[in-house]
Amino acid sequence: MTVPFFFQTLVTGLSSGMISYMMVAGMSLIISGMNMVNFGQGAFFVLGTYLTYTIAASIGFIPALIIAPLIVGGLGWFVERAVRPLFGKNMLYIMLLTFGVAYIVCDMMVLIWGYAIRLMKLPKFLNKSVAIFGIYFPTYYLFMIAVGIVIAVSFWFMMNKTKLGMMMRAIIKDREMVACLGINVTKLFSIMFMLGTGIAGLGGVLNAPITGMSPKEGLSIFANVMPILMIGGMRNMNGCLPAALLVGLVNAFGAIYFPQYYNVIPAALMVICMFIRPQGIFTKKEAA
Amino acid sequence: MISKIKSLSQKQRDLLGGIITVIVILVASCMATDSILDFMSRMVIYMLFASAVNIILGFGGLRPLGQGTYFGFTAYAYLFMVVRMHIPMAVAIPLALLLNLLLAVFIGIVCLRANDDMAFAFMNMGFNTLLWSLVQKMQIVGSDTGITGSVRLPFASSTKGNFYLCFAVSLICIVIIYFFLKSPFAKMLKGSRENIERLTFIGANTHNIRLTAYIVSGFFCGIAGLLYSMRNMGAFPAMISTNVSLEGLIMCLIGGMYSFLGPIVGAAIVTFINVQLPIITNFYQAIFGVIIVLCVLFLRGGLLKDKSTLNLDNSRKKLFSKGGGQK
Repeated sequence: MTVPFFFQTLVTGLSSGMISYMMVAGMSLIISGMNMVNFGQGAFFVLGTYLTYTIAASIGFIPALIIAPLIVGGLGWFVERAVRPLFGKNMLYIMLLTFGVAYIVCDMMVLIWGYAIRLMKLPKFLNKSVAIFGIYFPTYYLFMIAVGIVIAVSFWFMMNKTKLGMMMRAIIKDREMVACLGINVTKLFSIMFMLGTGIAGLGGVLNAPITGMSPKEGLSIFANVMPILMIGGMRNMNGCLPAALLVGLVNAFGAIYFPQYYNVIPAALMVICMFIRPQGIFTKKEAA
Repeated sequence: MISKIKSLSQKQRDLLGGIITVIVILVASCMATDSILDFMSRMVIYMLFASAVNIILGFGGLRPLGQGTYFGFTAYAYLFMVVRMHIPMAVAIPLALLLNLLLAVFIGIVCLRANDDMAFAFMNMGFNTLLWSLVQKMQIVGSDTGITGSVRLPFASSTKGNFYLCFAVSLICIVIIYFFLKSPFAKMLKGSRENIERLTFIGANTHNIRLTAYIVSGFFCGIAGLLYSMRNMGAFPAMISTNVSLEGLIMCLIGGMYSFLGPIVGAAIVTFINVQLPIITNFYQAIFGVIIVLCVLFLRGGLLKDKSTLNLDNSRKKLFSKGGGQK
């Protein structure tokens, strides 16, 4: 493998890892914060993609980057309202409800946009390639990595430095205590859920110019990113980014060395990881 | 009439419901055409699948998101042995079931190791995804198109014969599951669902109880998969996908997962929706989704409820009205 090719593959892997990161970050926030699984995350991801097709055609790609996640997050609010009476009951109900929502959202997308897989054109300033040290990289991939880093940093900042993040961390540790302190837990849950789905929507927006999606993919895409969640650690938000990047890189390099089996790698990685460290590779052992 | 049914014990109710179901299916099969028989054999197989899932879901209180693994794996193992390796069917069937059992033991041990409900659910699904993506890519099992071949048993090669075979095997298996769920072991299993700390405190090995239930459930899922591969005369990636696993859960949910007959009713409903609705409309999945959402929000116990669960619910309600009980 030549050096330029190596670096190009590296960038491809990192950018695809960033897209999965956006989906997993939202999912991990919802799982660790609310102790529930959102099966609809894949559907929201695809919804972000399809909204981009429409918005980018009329307004432009950059506004779509802001508007589409907002719409997806707004939809997440409705889902959260539906889920609300189920908190504290069997977890399965929430899983199946979000799965039902995913069914509905996917079929709505078929109704609105049809089955055709489409592609969109990139804005001009992103549709180029840049030379760094004499190696050419597509600008859009670098842009994706940049957006991913911005999201990761702001997410970290929000969780660790702001009051909202403090409350969210507190909810993860002890929900009843936070409620007793007079903080509106229900409202925080809504915010969490909207944030989680919104980030997934953003991932969908970034994904739109790269791969064509079919609406029905929203159901199966969840299974594809789930290994990342397990590798990073189920209830460990900080593990998402390294896990997603790892899987992205492994996918990119695996696609070159084992083109036939490369999409099996994440799941296999997860199973191996489960043998070594069931709590996730990037989880630190909690002090007792 | 209704008061008479109400006064029956749970055992009598199950018996009555079972007999009615069997008679309805038999009568319908006598006057059905081949296409309807095909649909009915699918329904019967899913009934077995749903009751097998319900062992671990409703009675075990765990959330198996990957029981489709066994459903598809047995089908693939059987087809592979018969079509690719030319092993006689009489040998291949027990061998496939044995392999499935070993797989269930393996996955069960690995998944229950973490001792976390959510991790269990996800790892189950992870194994399912792994096998699904493997099967889609492996040339030797036919990648996307799957394996096809004439794998029906010689005495049941026609549609009608195959239906009666499926029906008989499913019936026997469901009866076995019924007796399994009435055994003292199942009582411990229910105990682990209701209050696992307490059961551990008493001195029961809850891990082994759950593992055993998981293996039994996987084994019966495998039998359902075997029958399904005979009905389809092939094994396809769709049979091992996570959708099958989730469908199993939804069947239990709609029918009522705390009762024995619930999953059977649920399987009938879900299969009917899955097969008949696509003929009418393109958006059957949305309708399916609406049904799931409504069921979760307003019909949480499912359509059928056990007498014991009903009593439990009523006593809880009484507790609430008196101001006690926990949320």
